[in-house]
Amino acid sequence: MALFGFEKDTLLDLTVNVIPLGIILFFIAAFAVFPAFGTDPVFSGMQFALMVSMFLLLAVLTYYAGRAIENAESRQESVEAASAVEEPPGEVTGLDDTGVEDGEATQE
Amino acid sequence: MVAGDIVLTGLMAVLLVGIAALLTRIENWRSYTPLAGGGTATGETVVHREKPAGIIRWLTTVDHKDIGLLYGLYAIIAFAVGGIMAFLIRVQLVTPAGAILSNNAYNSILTSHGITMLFLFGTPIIAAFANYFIPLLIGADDMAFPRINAIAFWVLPPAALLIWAGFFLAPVTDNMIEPARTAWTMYTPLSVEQTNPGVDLMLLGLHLSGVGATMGAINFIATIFTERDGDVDWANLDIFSWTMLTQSALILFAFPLLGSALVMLLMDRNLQTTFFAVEGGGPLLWQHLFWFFGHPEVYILVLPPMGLVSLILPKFSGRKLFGFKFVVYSTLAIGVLSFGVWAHHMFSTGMDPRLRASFMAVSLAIAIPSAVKTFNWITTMWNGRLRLTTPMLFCIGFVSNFIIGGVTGVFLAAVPVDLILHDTYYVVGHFHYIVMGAIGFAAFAGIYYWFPVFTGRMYQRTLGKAHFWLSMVGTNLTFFAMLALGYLGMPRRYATYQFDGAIAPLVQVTTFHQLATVGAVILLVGQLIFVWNIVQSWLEGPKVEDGDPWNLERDGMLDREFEWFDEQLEADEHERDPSLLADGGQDEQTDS
Amino acid sequence: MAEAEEPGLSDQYPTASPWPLFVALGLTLSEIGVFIGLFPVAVFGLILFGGSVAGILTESGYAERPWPTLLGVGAVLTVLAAALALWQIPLADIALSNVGEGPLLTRLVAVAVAGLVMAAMGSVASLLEQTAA
Repeated sequence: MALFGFEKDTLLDLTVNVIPLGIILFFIAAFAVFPAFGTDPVFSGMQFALMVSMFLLLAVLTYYAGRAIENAESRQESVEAASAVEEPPGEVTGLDDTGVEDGEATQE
Repeated sequence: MVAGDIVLTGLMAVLLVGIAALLTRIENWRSYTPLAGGGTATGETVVHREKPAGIIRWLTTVDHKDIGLLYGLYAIIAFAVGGIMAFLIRVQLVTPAGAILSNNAYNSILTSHGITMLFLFGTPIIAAFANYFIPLLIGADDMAFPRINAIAFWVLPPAALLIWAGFFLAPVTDNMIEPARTAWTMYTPLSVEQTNPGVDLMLLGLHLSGVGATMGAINFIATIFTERDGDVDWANLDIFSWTMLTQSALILFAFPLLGSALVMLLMDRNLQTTFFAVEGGGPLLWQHLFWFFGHPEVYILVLPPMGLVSLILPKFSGRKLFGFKFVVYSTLAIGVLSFGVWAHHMFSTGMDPRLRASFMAVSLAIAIPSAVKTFNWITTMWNGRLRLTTPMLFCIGFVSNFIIGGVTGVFLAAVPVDLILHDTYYVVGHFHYIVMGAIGFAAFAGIYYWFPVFTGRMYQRTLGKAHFWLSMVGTNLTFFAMLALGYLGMPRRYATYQFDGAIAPLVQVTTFHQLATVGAVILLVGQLIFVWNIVQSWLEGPKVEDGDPWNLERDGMLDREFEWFDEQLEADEHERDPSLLADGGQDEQTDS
Repeated sequence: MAEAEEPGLSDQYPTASPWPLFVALGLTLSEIGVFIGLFPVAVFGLILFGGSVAGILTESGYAERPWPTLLGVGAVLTVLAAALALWQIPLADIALSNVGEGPLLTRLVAVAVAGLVMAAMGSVASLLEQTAA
């Protein structure tokens, strides 16, 4: 499943912000269904504007942060893969997972 | 008045000429050559001796490590001043009639205690760690703008003098200028109507500290975005830098607003504008503007300490931080949501109940990202190989206090509970669990954890542990008693509490006040030990010879700042030149 | 420390600059002077601030010489003060004899005086330097 184009691992990390989003959504729905204090164009408008704007801002920031981190991770992986290719002939195995090469690659 | 003006003019002219003379003496203006970009290469390997000696070094430094130390010294002094004020408050409240202070003196000290701790201790101690360690952690040579960094620090000492000005000036001006008695929230109309010029001075001091904080924040954002070493990217940026980045963004949005509101208040006081008058914007406008700044300020203060704990706690648990990215995303979530909760400080002002409800909703939502972090810290320690060093003890203390402070905050976020507990000691207990029990503890953890790096020496472990236990017991005694006082209905900010025993539980209230004072005494003893430990160890402590004093390499958790420290030690050993390790300011020290 | 012929502090040491301290001090004095309404403090504070800004910009290589910056800061302050005066104070009340009367006019005059002094210093120094060269 590639929701919003994220990998599964990233989606799992992002659930941490889905919970506050869910809480806000719950209150939006609750206040919409049970307007305990009546409705008023100005105050109800402000009431929902506050919750909706917080919801949107948090959703947008979470999305872009997730993007930035996922892109950085995939770049890191491709750098590691590339540095394995550029090693001297004979050592280009791509199967070596002792981690020794990785350590040297990051030092450079 | 005319004579006074002439004296002042003369004084200012002498000052200006003196500064110009000093500058021509120490600086060669004609030598300036335009550089592209205006950056300074610190070039630690090229220049052998890169800092002037003595006091000139500290007055002119643009090195991030020196500025970090200056921030640290400044914050500790402010902490001492604010702490003594807190102690006086507690001594006063030991009897219902008030033990030592007049009501006016009590109000002055109460106001200054709050402002000192939040603006002169909290923000600078965070800047101290960030200045010293962010460039090291992300592999930068220095901050992006070293000179702006220095300016941001140097507005703080005058800010402190202005905020405390009333205390110095009251005796010499025959009480014409007195300390402000507005409480730290400076609510209008009280703050407009107090004609005391000390209030103006305090507002200006706050404004200056805000200018400094904003400059610092711009610098941190630019540094973290542009000065990272090639192999540090968003995927492996350390957690402290993440929290500093979020904090700086909050500062960037919040502090300019405080500055504007303060200018409006100053104009209301001095130029007869009506921003906060009933015929103008109304007194509630101030509360909205203040808390739109004030609530993010809370997170400005707590996010970097959370980052410190997230950085230090895993080191002594022998495990990587559990759910690193949970912490990152939840930090960002706190950053956004903190701008949508401000009116939960104003539930009892009679605002529209619909608005109140939506502020409650967002306030409850923001509890989640904070709670997530505590679970992360606890799970990091779970089954870990814990080493109960002093920094680790303070981290654990942070988690414990933060849970109490946080959970009490969730109750306050609910409108019906808040209406009962508003303006009682429950609120005071709640936020002191956070600012002292959490933020203060994280600052101590950072100081002990990095003590070898910035001094080259080791602190005295037994004293460190004594400091922790005294702080932990003192904090919980003082502030838990405050929670109880709140349930008993004791209002905050009162200089005396001689209630009618028939309608209020005076005996119990007195007992809990006395318990809180006992806690404050314990806290004071603990902090005296802390200062003694830091000063004596800095001067005489055993030199650290190993670049990995915490034995972090075994768990593969040696961060860049300790690698840098190791390089410094090796260079030191190589040259046998103590000046290379002089970042601790030990110019006079010689190898004995 | 160094004599005039020797290299200056910021040439000698890459992590030292004398300016930030004075920028901060200038900002502080200007704020106190303008807001509390202390005429001399406002004037000298603003001059110190403007001068230090000119100095630090030159030292860090953003400007070639300090004098145009000084002239610019002075001009901006003067124009700002004049504009605020025209906007907020009735034209009839704007007179030197009224300085010390209204809270706003006195402050604006202080800002304008500081601005004019800086502009004058900047332009005179520029001229001197160009004729000397």
